[in-house]
Amino acid sequence: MPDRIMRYLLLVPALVIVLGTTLWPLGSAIATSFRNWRLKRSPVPQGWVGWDNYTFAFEEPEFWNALQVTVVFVTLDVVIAVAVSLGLALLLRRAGVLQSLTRAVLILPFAMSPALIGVSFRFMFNGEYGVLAKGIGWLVPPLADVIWLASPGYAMAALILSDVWHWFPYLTLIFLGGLAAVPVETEEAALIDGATPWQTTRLVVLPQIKGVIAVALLLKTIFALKMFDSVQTLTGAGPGITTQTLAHYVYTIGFVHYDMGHASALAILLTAILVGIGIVYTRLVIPPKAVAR
Amino acid sequence: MSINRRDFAVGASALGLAGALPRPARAQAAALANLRTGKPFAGQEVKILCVVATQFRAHEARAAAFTDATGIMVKYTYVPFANMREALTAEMVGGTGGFDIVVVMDQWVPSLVNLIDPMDARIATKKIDTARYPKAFLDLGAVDGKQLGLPTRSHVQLLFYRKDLFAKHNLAAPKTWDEVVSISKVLQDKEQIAGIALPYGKSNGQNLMVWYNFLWGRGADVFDAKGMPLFASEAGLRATQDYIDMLRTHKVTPAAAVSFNEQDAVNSMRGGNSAMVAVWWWVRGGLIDPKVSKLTEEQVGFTPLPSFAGGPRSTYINNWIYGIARDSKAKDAAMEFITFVTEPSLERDILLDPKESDVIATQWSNLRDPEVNKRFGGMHTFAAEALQNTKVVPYTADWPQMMEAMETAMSEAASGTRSVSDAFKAAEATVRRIARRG
Repeated sequence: MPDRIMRYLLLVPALVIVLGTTLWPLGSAIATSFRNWRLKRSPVPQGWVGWDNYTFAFEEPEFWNALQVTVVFVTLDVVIAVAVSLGLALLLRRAGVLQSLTRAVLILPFAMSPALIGVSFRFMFNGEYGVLAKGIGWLVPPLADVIWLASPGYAMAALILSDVWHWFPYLTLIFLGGLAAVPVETEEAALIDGATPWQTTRLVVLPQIKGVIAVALLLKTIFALKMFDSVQTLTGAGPGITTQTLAHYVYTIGFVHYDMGHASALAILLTAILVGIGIVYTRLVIPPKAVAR
Repeated sequence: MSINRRDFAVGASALGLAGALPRPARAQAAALANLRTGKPFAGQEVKILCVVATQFRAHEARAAAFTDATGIMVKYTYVPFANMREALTAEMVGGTGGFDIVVVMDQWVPSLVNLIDPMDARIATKKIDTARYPKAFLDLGAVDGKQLGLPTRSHVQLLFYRKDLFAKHNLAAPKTWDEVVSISKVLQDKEQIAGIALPYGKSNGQNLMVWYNFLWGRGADVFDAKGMPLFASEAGLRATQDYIDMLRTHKVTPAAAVSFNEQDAVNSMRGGNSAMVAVWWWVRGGLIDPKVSKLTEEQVGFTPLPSFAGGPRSTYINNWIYGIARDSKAKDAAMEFITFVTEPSLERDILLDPKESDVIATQWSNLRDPEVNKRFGGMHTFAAEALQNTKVVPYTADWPQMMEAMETAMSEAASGTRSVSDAFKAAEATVRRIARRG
């Protein structure tokens, strides 16, 4: 068999797997989003309903609430997670026993299941015996009487805190990788020229890892947009629906309301948002050279 | 196959012999008596999709006798409660016949009606007397007059209280919610302990489960006869305000109760932080288990849930059924196992087994059994009384969606983000919209 054909033939298994696990479900979800499929009425999809599931989504106040919550959550979560991780990476970049040990221990939170993290934080924020609630109250006395999961603001703070705790190790390791590629000579030259350590970091080091920061922002944004587990296990989307993200709303429509057509339409909208953000990030934040590298 | 004279003779002999046997063997012999003879389904396997609960472990432990007698193998697959509805949904949509028996909670039954095969004909063939169950339990396993399963794990609510603290301050178990408030204030003042742990946070509708009794106590209800919401009527809003007042006005619950789910409320009492908790009867085991609780059996008393002066002392009930999966390829074998495992004598055997601590009784004979009541301090007599008068929430296929609207309203009212009236009027509008859309 000619090599030209053989090399395409060898791609077939991988192509089948990719098509079967990504494009087929995506196509199926798009098709379902145009159909009436309410599981409590029928275990199989029913008739075509055009754009009804999409227009219905926009008419629901809960959709706009979820969108608003998601924007607030993603903005705060991404900024805090990236800032904390970057700061920690800058502290840990130098060689040393403590740094090496910290790097090894750092990965543990990321190895935990997000659902388990939500459950654990729920216990830790319990107003009666939660170690985190007590600890924060001890450190910041005005917060001693706060019932963390009882008010919209504090519940959102708890949600962000748990997600930052989960993600900062991974992001820190990404930044450590980027920082390792920064030539030491550039920093030494800046210091010799009289730059302060802060100026060296801000004006010499950070610009050299701009591409890495952009990738980290992109990844964290995508994962924050998909936030579901901790909403389900930590806040239950409450109080009320004040911490209900879009991903959790999609789940609620699909698996509580049993409206698969509507849930599919919402999932497609969420996917469209994710793809849009990906494109904007790639075009605006990551310069073509960085992408090529 | 109908029961012929030979089968009857075999069964009767087994029962006669069984009289001389110890209780577990007698129970098994009785449970086996109603099964088909000749092992017609030998070699088949009955696969059960089941929620994690000690009671089902106890059933599984007794399945060996069933396998010996019938040749039918039994395999349990356990799923945590939080994932159970998704697992059942996947089974319904997949339609693979992966499971023969499904264990389904009452609230989900109408929306999972396409998963379960109606069982009326099989119940009649097996001559299972459904009058052995409280009607409320049976009704919660039926849709449009068709029985989709037999009750297997059913719960009533009780008020658990600190017997030692009540005795110390000469307090009697409360009969009304007003008494709960006054007793709580005494204990909060003298013992620095919260009065009553109640769940107000969102978690699968758990913040509604005690509230239903407040509604019924005030003469209100969740729905009217036409299935339209009634919970935001004047009486309903008053009852809801009473429930919220326990937290926000009287402050007799732990402050953290605003975000409590049921487990948090139980933890509050067993950690010694609350003097009372209104919760399912099965929780008793955990309240006095030294591995997870600071309390001992001597410290924990129980009484039917209080009501308002002159109102009925009701209980909201929860019920799980054993149903046969519509796509099962071993339906007859599955019915054999359900017949075996729902036999009253087997349930009684589990209730009296010193190695088991589950309180669950689904059948009148066991609820009123003197030995069972002796073991659990009369708990089942209370349950039987409550079950005679209790109301049930008429679940429909739309219930999970409606429940979500109500639990959200409760969470909003409890956290103060909306008033009781605003939150529940909005929930009422949502429920009406859901009912209209169908």
